Amino acid sequence: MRFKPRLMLPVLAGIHFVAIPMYPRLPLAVLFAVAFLTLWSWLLFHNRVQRPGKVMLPLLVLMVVGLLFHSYGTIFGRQAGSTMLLLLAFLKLFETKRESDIITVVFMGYFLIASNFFFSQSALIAIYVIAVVIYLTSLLIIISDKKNSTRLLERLQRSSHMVVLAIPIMLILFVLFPRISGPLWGLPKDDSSATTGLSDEMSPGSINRLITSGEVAFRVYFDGEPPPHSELYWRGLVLSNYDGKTWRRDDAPVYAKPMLVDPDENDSSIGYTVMLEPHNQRWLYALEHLVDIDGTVNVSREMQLYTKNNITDVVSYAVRSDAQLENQGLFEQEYSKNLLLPSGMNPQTVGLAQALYAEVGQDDDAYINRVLKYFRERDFIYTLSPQLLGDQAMDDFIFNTQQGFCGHFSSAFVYLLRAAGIPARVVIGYQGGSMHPFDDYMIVRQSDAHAWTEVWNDYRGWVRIDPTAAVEPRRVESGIENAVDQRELLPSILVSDNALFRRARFMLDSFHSNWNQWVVGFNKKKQKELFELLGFSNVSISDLVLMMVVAMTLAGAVAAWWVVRKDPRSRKDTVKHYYDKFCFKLNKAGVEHQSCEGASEFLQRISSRFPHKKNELALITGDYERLRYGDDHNEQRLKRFIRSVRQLKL
Amino acid sequence: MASKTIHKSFFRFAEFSRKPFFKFLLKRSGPYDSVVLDRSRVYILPTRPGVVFCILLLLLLVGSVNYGKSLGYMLTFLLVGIGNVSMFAIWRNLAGLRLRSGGGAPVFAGEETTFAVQLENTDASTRYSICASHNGVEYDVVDVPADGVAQIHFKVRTQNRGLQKSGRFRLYTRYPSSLFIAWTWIELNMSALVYPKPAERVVRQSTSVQGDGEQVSNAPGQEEFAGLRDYQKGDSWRQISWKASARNDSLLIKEFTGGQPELQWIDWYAIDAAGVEERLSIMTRLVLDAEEAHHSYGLRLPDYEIAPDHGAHHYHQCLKALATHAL
Repeated sequence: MRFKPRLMLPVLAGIHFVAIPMYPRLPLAVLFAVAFLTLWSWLLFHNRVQRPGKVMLPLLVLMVVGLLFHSYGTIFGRQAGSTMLLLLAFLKLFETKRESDIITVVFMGYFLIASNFFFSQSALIAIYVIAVVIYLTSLLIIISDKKNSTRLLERLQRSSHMVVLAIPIMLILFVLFPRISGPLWGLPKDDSSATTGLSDEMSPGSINRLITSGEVAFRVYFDGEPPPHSELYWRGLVLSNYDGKTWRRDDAPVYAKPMLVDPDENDSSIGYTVMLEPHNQRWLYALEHLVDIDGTVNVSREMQLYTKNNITDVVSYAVRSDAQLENQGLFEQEYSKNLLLPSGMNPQTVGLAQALYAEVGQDDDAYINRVLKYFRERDFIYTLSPQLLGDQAMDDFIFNTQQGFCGHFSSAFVYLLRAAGIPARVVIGYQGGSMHPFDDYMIVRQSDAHAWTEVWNDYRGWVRIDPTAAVEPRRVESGIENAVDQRELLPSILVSDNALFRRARFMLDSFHSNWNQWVVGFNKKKQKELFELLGFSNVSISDLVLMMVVAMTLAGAVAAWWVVRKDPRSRKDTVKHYYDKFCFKLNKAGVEHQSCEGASEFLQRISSRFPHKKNELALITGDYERLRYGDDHNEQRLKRFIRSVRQLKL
Repeated sequence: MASKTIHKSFFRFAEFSRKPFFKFLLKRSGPYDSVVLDRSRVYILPTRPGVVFCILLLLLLVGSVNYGKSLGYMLTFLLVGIGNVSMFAIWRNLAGLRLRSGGGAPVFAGEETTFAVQLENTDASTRYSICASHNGVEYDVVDVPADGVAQIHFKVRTQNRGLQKSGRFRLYTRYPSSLFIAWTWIELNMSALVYPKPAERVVRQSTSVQGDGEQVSNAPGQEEFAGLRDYQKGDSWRQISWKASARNDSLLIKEFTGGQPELQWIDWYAIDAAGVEERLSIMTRLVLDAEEAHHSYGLRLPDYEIAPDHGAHHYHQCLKALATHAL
């Protein structure tokens, strides 16, 4: 059988339907190729051009490979691989001669749509994928429908029906399929998806940009009462290197547990689980002084948390932190690197430091307070949009503009301390977070991004000091939305007074949270948790497999019953059923229907017996004969027949 | 290699199961006048695309495990579900169908005869794309409407005259997903009449044209118009007087005196041939030619005689007698 063009347009539409979420990621050259191939298949459909021949087709494949090398430098990997599959699907459409071969394109579609999960696993993508699966399955139907007698709507209905029936099977397998932790082979490195979040360096203005984003950075589920807002310092990275413009972290974090000392031996630790949105970096966020964290996370001496791979999916990790603990580890190198300043820069600031340090009698604690007092007294302004700073950034900030954001205050503070010979470092992360109004978790948004400092104290170790709090205490006590004047720059969820809008947004957030926990984050741990919730502890892989087999068998039995049972909607049976009912009524009234007797003979007998009901009986019999023996498919008649049998009283 | 062995052993089992003891294991496949395809008659296996689909699912699963993508698992399992559901749907598309034998059309030996099977669907939904094949050749695809009937045809090549049984044929469907194929083998009580294969055109032997006590025919040119009479079944339409019929409300036939169709006996004993089959073959040719020439002809077989006449009914009568002679 020749490949009939009737499939060309539906399949072409299917490829595009699959590829729409990919388009924003594709390079321009590939987009042009897609447009070109679409145009070609369109012309082919209208018989304007020839099918590519034996020479042309390999040439086209070569061109595709060349294009991929030009755009990605490889044909492997997630981006290049999925792009290649997309272009090959078009070529397959050209090449296909037999109708049944077009099924390969549909299979390619099923595969391609899965490649989206590398970039997003949101509920929105899930819904889109289901829609695509429904459409692709309708293509299987049109391929199977050899007489081309189904309409598009009918096919979509049928495939939706199939998908709906498939969902219970999907859920059974999803819950019961044993999860294996860790990849079977290496994870891809070619990640180019853009995500919002803190980067690994801080320059003036880098944090300000995040403040306008209402996106969720992570959600926190506290085991008990959350600490007060002013204690919620979510540490991310420690930045020790300053070149006069930008703060950077150490390139090589030392994976060694920090030296934590508990001064009063009381267990005041709090446990919580963080559900971190993918930020495509390797570090995690946690409250200060962590006691315990899930096994696979590396902890650096500066108490930064690192994972093995970039975080491209929602991850959750359980943490225990204790604010009472003191980090007293300071080794040689750490001491010296946290005293470094770019040489010869910001002479005024260095002068100020020396003057103030002398003023307090070279006492470190007094000096720290003196510097904070300096910021308060000189009317420094906390603002989202400070003026740009010149080359001598610190001098410019302290003596000239005097307005800044958290980044400015913490760099100036660290600069002043280092100039006085006190080890100090910048820490970036998030400060604060707001409890969900009707759910039991805390939301930390990008707008909570913050920078603060840690200062070395010979007795207490590294002590957190937030110079921003000295200038604008409200930032730390109740959040950014209460601390700045330019509320219009903040995300709408923080400043909106519309209760309905806020409620809707938070409901959506609850949904996201559950989605992340139970769908995207459904792993070995979560599976175990679910079974513990249901009362089964220590479920082994073999138990899961057994349960899966049993459940699938049961589902198969239900499906088989559903399929094998007689179609209850069958019209002929309905008609027969109501005629039997009619005979039953007459039987009760004293006239028995003989099995050999035709309906019209029976009518003669009963109408002579019940002359006053003659018309009704004749109507019922007439309808019955036409419905059962005629080719009459009149719904009205069937309804009338059923109604009159029901209403008949003798 | 392995698949060959499996096939071999399968066929060995199939052979074995035909032995009387095992016969009860396999449902009889006919012949029936009418049969409902119940659950034990409909078989199902994955098609080649179905196997490819399985491989695709395996790849998706391995990818989901490796990259730890929950939605990957979801998609994989959704497709597993669709595969399962479609298996039942395909099976259901065939199972429950009632088949009635519709008989076969008469043909000459060596030609293909067409058998018709009536398919009855008592479901409230259409059964699409039901195919019929015989000896591995697909002949027909039909949709059977909800609560309706459809006729499906398949062809069988004939060899010998007589009654040709339809034999086992296959009904199958891949609707709605093409991932599986459900099929049944069934034999219905159907046979087609196979006329003897007509011989090459023979020169009419003078002995075969006999007056038989009646007037020998005139040449057609000598006919004279005699009048009109009512049309009777079997009359040639060439003799209809369209003008006169238009005025009347029934069809009228022009009659000619001396134009009586040539009378002819096709006589078994008058044929000069070696064997029975050859003789029948020549007689078939003569019947064909006589009917074509609108002659009136009679048929004389050793044990059977048909009086001279002409027309479609008579024609088939004669051919039937030839087809079933001495069987």
